[in-house]
Amino acid sequence: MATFITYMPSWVLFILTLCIGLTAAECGVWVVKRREKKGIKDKEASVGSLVGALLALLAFMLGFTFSITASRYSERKHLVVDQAKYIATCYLRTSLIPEKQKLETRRLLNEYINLLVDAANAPVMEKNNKQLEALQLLIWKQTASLKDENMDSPLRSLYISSINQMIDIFGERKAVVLTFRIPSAIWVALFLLYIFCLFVVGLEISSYKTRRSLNVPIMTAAFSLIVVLIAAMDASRKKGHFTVTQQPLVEVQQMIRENQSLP
Amino acid sequence: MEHAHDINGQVESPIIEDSKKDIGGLFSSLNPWVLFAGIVVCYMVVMLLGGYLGRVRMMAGIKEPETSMETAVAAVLGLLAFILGFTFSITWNKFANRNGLVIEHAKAISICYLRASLIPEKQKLEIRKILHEYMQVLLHIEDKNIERSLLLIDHLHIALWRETVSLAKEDMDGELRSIFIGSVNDLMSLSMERKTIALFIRVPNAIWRSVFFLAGIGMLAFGYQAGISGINKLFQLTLLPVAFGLVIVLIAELNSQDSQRHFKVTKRPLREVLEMMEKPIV
Repeated sequence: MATFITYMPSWVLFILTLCIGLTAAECGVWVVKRREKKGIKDKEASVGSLVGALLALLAFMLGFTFSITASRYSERKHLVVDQAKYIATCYLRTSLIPEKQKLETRRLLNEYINLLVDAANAPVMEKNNKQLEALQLLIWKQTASLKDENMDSPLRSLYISSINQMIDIFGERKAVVLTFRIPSAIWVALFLLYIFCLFVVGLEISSYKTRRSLNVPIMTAAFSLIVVLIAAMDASRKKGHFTVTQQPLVEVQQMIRENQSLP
Repeated sequence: MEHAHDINGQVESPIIEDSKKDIGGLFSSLNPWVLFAGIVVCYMVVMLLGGYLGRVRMMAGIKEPETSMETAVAAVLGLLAFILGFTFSITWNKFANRNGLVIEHAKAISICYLRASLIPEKQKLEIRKILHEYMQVLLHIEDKNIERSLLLIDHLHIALWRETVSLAKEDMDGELRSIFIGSVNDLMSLSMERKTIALFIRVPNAIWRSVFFLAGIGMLAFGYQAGISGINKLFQLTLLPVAFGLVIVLIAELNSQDSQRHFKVTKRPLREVLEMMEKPIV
C-alpha cells in the first residue's frame, strides 16, 4: 500500500483522498437519514464533541506521520553530503598509496562517482546497485593489496579507514533510500481514521437545514493536501516534488575530472 | 591572492540556476516590507472574497450553523499552523546548522594550522601561507563574488592537498604525518558540507505551495464564516493575514542564503582563527 500511494501522481492522490473524504461524509448523512426514518434521533452535542476529538486525533496522526517522513527526507539529504565527503577524501588519499593501486583505484572511483550521480532516484539506484557493489569490491581488492606493499603503516591505515567509511555510507544510504518507508500499517490507520472522521462530520452536518455547507469540502481539501505532501516526501523519485540535491556528488565528480593529474 | 589569476574565466553557476527556480529564494530576494505588504494584500483579497460569498449566501436565506464552519476553519487553520511551524523549523535548523558549521570549519582550520608545526619546514611555510589566503577568501565572501570565491576555495584546497601529499616522500614520523593529513581532510570535508548546507539545501517548493494553498482555503473559509454570520469588522479580519505575513517574512529571512539581511551567520570564529594565525607559532 505504501508503494502504491507514494508512486501515484500527486494530483491523482489528491483527488482520490478528496473523493474518499466526501463519500465518507455523504455516508454519514445517509446513515442519519435512515435512522431518522426509523425514528432514532441523536443529541447534537454528543456528535459535536466527537467531531472535535476525532479531528484532533487525525491532526495528531498526520503530524506524527509528517514528522517521520520529514526526518527521513532530511537524512537522505545529509547522507548525500556525507557520501560525497567520503568519496572526495578517498580520492585525495589515493595520492598516498603506491602508483599501481593509485591509478587503478582512481579509475574505479571515477566510474563509481559517475554511476552514483546517475543513480539520483530510487529506481536507477536499484538498477545500478549491483554495479556499484561490484566496483566497491574491486576498490577493496586494490586496498587489500596494499598489505603486501612496502609503505608507511599509519598512511596505509589512514587510507584503508577512508575506503571503509565510503563503503559503509553507501550501505546506509541504500537502506534509507530503498528500504525505509512509512509502513503500510500507518497509511491504513491514517486513511481509516480520516474516513471515520469525515463519516462523523457527515453525521453532524445531517442535522443542518442546508446541505450545501462548505465545511466538508474545505476540510477534505486541507487534509488531502497534507496526505499528498507526506506521500511526495516519502517517495524517492527523481522527478518528485522533494528531490534530494545531488550537487555534492556532482562537485566531487567535477573535482575528480579536473584533478586526474593530482600527484 | 596569487591563485585568483588562474580563475578569471566564466563558470557555470548551479547556485544561480537553482535559486531562479526556488520560491524561497525569490522571497528572500524581495524587500521584507514588500513581501509582507504583498502577502497581507493578497490574503485580505481572498478573505474578502470569502466574506462576499458568505454574505451572498446569507442574503439568499441560507443559514449555516456557526459551529460547523468554526470546526472547519479551526481544522484548516490548525493544519496551516502546523505546516508553518514545520517550515519554520526547517529554516531554523538550516540557520543553526550553518552557524554550527562555521564553528566546526574554524576549528578544523585552526587544528590544521597548529598541526603544521609537526611537519617539515618547507611544507609548513607553504601550507600556512595557503591557509592565510584561505582565511582571507572565507572572510571576504559576499553575494556578488560568491562564484569566484568558491572557485578560489577549490583551488586553494587542491594547492593545500598537493603540499600535504608531498609529505609522503619526507622522512618523518608516520603517526604525525597521518595526524596532519587527517586534519587537512577534515578541513576540506567541512568546507564541502558548509557549502552544500548554505547553498543547496532549501525549503522545497512543494512545502511553499502547500503553505499558500492551505492559507488560501483557510482564509477563504474564515472570511466566509464572517460573511455568513454577518460580522463586518475589518480590523478583526486583518489580523489573520498580518500574522501569516509576519511568519512568512520571518521564514524568508531565515531561509535567505544570498543577502543574509536580518539573520547573519557569524564569522567571528573565523576572525578569531585569523587572529591566532597572526601570532608567532612554532
